[in-house]
Amino acid sequence: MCSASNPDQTPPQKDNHLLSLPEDIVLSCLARVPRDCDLNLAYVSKTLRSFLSSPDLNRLRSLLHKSSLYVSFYEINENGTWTYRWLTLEKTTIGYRLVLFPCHRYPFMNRSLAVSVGSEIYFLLKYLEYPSDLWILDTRSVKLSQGPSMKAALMSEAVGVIDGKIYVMGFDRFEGTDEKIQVQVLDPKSKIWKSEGQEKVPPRTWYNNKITASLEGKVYMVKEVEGERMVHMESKKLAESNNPREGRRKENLNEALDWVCVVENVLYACYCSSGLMWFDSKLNVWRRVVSRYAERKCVALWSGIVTTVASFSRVVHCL
Amino acid sequence: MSKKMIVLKSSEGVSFVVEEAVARQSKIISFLVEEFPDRELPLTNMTSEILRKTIEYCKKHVVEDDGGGDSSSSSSGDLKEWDVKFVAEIDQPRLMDLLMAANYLDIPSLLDVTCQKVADTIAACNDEKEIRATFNIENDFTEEEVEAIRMENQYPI
Repeated sequence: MCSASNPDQTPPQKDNHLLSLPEDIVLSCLARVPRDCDLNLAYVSKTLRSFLSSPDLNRLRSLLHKSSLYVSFYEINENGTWTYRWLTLEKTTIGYRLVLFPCHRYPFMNRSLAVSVGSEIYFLLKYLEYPSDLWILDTRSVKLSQGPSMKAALMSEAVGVIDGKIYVMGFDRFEGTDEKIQVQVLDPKSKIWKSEGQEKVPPRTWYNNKITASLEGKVYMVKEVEGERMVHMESKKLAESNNPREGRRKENLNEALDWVCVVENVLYACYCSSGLMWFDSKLNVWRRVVSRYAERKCVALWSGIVTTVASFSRVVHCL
Repeated sequence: MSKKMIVLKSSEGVSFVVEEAVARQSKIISFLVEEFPDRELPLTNMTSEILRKTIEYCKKHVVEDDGGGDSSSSSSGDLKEWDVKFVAEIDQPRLMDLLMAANYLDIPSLLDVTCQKVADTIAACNDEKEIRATFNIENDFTEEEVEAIRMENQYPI
């Protein structure tokens, strides 16, 4: 410690008090705290609670550095045709705004799973497509290249990034069973796929809508079928330090799911009747988001904003 | 090639001789150097210990111009690692002082790493009690108020 080498120094000011700091400094500290700590902070004191609900904090959080953001969505036009668009985040002098991203649209982009690592977007094709089931878009050069195919031909159902590596969960296309879920991992640096074993799941629960997101070193798969499962893959690092058997988790919430997303370390899901919920990963329960907007149809997405979209459009990817 | 040096004086009256390029990372010092060249700059609200720490940070982060274009003394990856170690070694009271120093001297990158350290410390706390203890914050809620907040964050069913 610094004090040990300076025994003659006067002790530092006794006022070691977070709230004795100037207001703008408290806010810039709080802006950097992950959102999943907000609940703890809200119980600390009235002053801290009022900081949390301050619009300044939301503004600061949205201004913090973001490496990138890519959104793809479609609109249904009046004549029944669909328009797909890609948007990206552009930094301006007053903050960030969304602008059109000049990327050639390939049909598979809307049917595939997508995940971003660094400046690259990885598209995983769910159904067998020649010559590869992996395509990589370099967002700086806006060039699309073919990536290495997975080791086993998976019907990819879920994808997420853990410790910088891409985890894919899915079913073997040729095995003809939906009881075993396979996990494959791609190292974006070496571009080499590895198999990470498999998990058993109850049969016939995988047909409908399921949506995935990754946070805290886990990939979550939230599903609506039979309403009651949430599966997650855990990073090896976490699994070794915690209970390695805690690789799967059940969560009872018996209703249909509309969308799921991660905003600043918090997993949100929009359920058809409960509305917008967030997942408390410490207690393993879904909690309701208290908001006057939460009852509307919700989707996505970033930097403290969970937004709603009109019924004639839908977000396809948000990276 | 001799480098221009300036003198910074702590609240205890201890003088620190620092290369101008190092000290100029502070926007305030940069301004003062231009206004009052060849003068000792008194920093009456900074202890020697905190001033020494601040200078240590600035020395590491100075961008040297060797004539062959700007080159940082370290690569950005190394710097980040160094920053993490730098704030990890500082205890809570001194972190607050360093944060205030970064704010007062207007050194954006130091302010950033110290704010981040405070945020990480908050995030590492398991509950509100630990946050109160770590940051010396008084609990001014009544039981009814706590209950009301709990209702807001109710369970789904």
